[in-house]
Amino acid sequence: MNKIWGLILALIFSLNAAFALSYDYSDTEFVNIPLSPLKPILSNGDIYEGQEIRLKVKKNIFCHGCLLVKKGTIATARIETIVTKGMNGFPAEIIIDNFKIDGINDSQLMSTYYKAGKNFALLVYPIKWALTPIPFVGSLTNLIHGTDVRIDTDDVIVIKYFPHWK
Amino acid sequence: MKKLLSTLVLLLSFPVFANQIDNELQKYNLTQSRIDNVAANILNMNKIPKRIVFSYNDTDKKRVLDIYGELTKRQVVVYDELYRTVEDDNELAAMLAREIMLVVKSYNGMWGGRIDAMQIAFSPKKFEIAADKRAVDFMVKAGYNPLALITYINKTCPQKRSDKVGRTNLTSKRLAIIYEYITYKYPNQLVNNPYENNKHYQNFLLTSINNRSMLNEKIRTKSTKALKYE
Repeated sequence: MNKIWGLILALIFSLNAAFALSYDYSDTEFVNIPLSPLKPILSNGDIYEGQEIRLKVKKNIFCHGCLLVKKGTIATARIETIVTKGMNGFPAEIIIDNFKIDGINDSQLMSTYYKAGKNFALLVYPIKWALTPIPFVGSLTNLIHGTDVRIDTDDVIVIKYFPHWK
Repeated sequence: MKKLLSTLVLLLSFPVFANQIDNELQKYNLTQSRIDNVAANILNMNKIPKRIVFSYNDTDKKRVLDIYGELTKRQVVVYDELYRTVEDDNELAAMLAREIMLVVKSYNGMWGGRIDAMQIAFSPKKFEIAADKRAVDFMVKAGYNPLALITYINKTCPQKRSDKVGRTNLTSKRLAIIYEYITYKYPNQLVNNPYENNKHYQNFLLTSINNRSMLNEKIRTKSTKALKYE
């Protein structure tokens, strides 16, 4: 009889687990992990989408009094999307994600990093609208491009580690 | 007597109307729940810490002034005309992931994202490709098949004659870029490809022979140059 009850309980628990979400964001405690790329990353340089990049941890990171990540530890990330600069002051953009640090579960990191070049929209649109009464001249502002983006080795990319997330 | 009869007919027909309204509401509710579920999956699995709401609208098309609701109100409206073409959750995820990307963009950048939002609204061509690519990432991370983005766009976006002057890219060009993105970044999605038996995916393969042969050449020669898709 006990075995049957045990079986029923196990079934209930396993069903519960099957419907449980793979994430739980209820906990708000987090630790910042500052990183810097080992090499500069340039949007007009020799990079491609999906490329793995290497970064190093800027300082010792402690969590609940214990050393979590040592300064200088190498982390990896992936260049997700590159948007090239364009007309109308559109800047180049780089989106980096998929950060991985040894000993830390990826699902406990919140990490999308985004950097854009200089956006000249504030310059382009007023000039364009001011010149619109003169035929075709307003369109010349289309030729103004935004700038490329550069992530230097002394730039700090901060990702968040949530120790209680599953 | 006539009045009595008409009152009786009215009274008898009332439950039928009520039932119809009830059915419509239920259908509406089911659609909205389906959209909310897929959207929440994408937002949560990608850990997007921005508020975005989704609503189903049973009218056919966007009104002209509603075009940039995503950028100003951070609200994604799914219109019936597009929703009707969605075959499964993967395609629904494809539709939503693109819009989510636009909304996320409106949160970043100068003046709390206002300038970036304005730029996307005035010159959507540049950002269209970036939104497609990011949508692929969102879908993969949320466990959806990114090839659904190809079938969805193949079914819904018309093909213009040229994109030299227009505000949007050629659909065939967008599809080729998405295909290239998946080929390089998520090659396993093409190896175990459940879409091989999908008519719309096969139609894309048929209509993209030239673009795909350019890509094959690029892979063969290990070139890193951006291709000029047609």
